[in-house]
Amino acid sequence: MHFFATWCESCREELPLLNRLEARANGKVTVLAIAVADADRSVQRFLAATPVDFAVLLDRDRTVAKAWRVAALPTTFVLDADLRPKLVVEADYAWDTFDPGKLTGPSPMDAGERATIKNANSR
Amino acid sequence: MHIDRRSFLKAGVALTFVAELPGLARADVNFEPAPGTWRKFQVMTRLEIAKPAGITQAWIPLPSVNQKAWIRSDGSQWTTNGKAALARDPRYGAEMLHVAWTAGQEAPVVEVTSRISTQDRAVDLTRPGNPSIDLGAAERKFNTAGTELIPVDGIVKQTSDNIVAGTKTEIEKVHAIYEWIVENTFRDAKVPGCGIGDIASMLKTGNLGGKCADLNALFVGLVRAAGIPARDVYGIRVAPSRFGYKSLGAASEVITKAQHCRAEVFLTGYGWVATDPADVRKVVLEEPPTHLAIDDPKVAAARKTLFGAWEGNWMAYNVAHDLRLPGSSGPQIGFLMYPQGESGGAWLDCIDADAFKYIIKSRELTTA
Repeated sequence: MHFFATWCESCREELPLLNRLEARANGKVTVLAIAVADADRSVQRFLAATPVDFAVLLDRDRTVAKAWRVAALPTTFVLDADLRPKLVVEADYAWDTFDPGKLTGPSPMDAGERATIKNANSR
Repeated sequence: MHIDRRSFLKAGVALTFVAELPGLARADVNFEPAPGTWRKFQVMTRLEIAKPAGITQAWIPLPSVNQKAWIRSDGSQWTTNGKAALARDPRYGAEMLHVAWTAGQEAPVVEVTSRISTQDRAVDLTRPGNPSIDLGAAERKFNTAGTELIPVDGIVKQTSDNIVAGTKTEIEKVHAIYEWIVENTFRDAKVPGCGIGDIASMLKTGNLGGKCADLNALFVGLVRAAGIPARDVYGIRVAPSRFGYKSLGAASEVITKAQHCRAEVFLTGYGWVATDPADVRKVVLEEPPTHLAIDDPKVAAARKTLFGAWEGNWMAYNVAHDLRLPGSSGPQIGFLMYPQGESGGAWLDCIDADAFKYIIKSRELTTA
């Protein structure tokens, strides 16, 4: 679950990285992107220039972002097969450097901890 | 190269003189808006939908603030090849022109012309107020409540409490918040990401950068959280500043991208008072030669003046939050400062004036 906005400068480069991550995962990772408080036409224009293979949903009035308690964009939640959160990334992230196997393996949160990445300079 | 002592001394004198000039010029900063001279403006908005995709609608804000001290709406006229009707937001009285085109209309267009009269605002907050000037309980409650983009609880309330700690009077509290906005808001490239578009997420992320709709909204939210009525006033710059501020006026008759929201606070004894901390930050960033220091005389003058005054080179549209646009399939919008549109059920990008194709022009008519 990737929350972003086309009006958010630090969001715009991350979608192609997530697209490549999904491709590298060979069907084991599904990306769902959610455009927060964006105009439909802005999202359409952005995706025409930067196509992605995953679904992009519109959260026009921030309802979904608020329900997920998203305060910063971009924010990415990684869920396991049972839709339990494994990882929360509250920043843009260099997904090209990330092994998708880590997302599908044993959860770092199995010990009961919430794994969070907040380092903005991670890319 | 040979320089004799006489030439060297001359050069030295000249150098001293030139170095002193900017200082002399800076000392002359005069930014003192004062009521007394009404001006009339005509603002024309022409909107076209380049590639309609079915049934198309547009909503164009109309000037609908009438306050006898500083602004009067003198009405609007329009022409269109669609079906147009004047609409009014029931809670705030914000007026708009609602235009609808059938799916068969290949070149939807509407042109609206509005006229207003306005003048400078200024109040001397060092003079004792008139205690009979107060806001009724219902209006006080309305103008201290939270909105979708301006929550007044949680981190907003905590931040406000911290800022006003140690202050006593309403003026002291509002001034403390005004100063806090001027001192703390800017864009910090190190901050990760953006908020989700409300002031609480601005505070949570620590990203206090933004434009007027962010900074003055933050100001309004912090003031409301302190229990003092405040509101954003959404509008557009219609003329250059006569005080020489390039950043605080319209650069030409084309004002398509000159939208600007200001803020008002209600101070017991004084009434609704003009404020605009976002414009202080605009002077810092944009006033030539740009990126001015916070103690630059032009910044200092703006900072002093825009707490209690503003120049009448700007037209107010409305003070509305959380509007539902009549006939729209979309969600409510946080504010109405730009023309809005939808085509084939998709929201058009209201701040992309080239794709959405609208132009706004301003002309001063005569001195009223």
